[in-house]
Amino acid sequence: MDIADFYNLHKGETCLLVGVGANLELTPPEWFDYPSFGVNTIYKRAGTWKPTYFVGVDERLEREDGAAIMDVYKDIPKFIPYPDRDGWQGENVYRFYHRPGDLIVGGKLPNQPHALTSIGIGYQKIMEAVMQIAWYMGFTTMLMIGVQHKPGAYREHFWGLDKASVEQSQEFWFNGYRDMCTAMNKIRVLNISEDTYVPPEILPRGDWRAWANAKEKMEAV
Amino acid sequence: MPANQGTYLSRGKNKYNTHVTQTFNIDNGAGTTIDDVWYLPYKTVLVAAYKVYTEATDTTGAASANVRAGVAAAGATVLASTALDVATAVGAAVAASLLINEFAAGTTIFTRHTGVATTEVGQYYVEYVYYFLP
Repeated sequence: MDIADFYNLHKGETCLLVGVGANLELTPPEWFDYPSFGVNTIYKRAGTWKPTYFVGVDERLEREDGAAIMDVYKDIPKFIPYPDRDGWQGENVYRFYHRPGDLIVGGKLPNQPHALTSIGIGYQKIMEAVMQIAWYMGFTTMLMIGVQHKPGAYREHFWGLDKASVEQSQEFWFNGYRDMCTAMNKIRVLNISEDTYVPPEILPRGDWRAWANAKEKMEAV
Repeated sequence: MPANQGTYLSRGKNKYNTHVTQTFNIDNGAGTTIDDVWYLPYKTVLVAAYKVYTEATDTTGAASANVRAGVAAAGATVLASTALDVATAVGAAVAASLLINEFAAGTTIFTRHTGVATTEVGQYYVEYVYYFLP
């Protein structure tokens, strides 16, 4: 399969974007039976759940977790940028072009053929890259879990404290969310995370109960 | 043997030139500074300044490093202290705001990079677009 084959592969479908925030286990991904995107250190989750797709962009991720990700998610399509991460090799890797420049550029939106290759995508945060890849794939509803952004607690993840990371501002993240939601005309983005600190005017809110189509099945098991 | 320099043409006021600093490594050390020195022999007008990335940066970390420029070492009268850019692709040229544009002949511009601790990926240089005044 070529990366171009993912264009509109999920046209009109709903997907789940799984962040690594400290609130992730309040709405575990097992409760949602949709094609899903996992990011960064999501592979550290216990259990058998795996995302449908994985996206990672950072050099630090490659250096510290790259081998483990390639091992744990060997069978999962992984989207990794070039030329930044050319050295990060493994099975089922699909390389998208990290375009220099702004997040959203007129005429270069990701919902068109070749958007992940010759056109490329610009991003500053991992979720901006994920949203654009999902848009490229044709998803029209994007549910987000594990998105917390608690002030002063940006280094906290579902697996614990990332001591080597740096604290970030809410504005830094919110600007990207807002720009993506504005650009993705007719795409419904819903933050269904529990205990989230993202205002609804930045990321529209949704109730996870309305979307947890696999919760009862999971609890029955 | 000297190279053939061709017919001399007056460049005139509108001919833009570029000056690039040395390439700075973002993780040269927490708080560690590097100064790039550029001497202006003629009266000069700076048109624009860019941070040009020769190695991509991660989504976090790079913003803790900064660059500034002034007419004295450690100065910030030409470029205010500006954080470097996260998740910036190779080849990106990010505009930096110039605080002053005209410089007298004999001025020196000091571009100061202040880094972060290892290991943070990313390298860049500062490119100035300018022209000389007669």
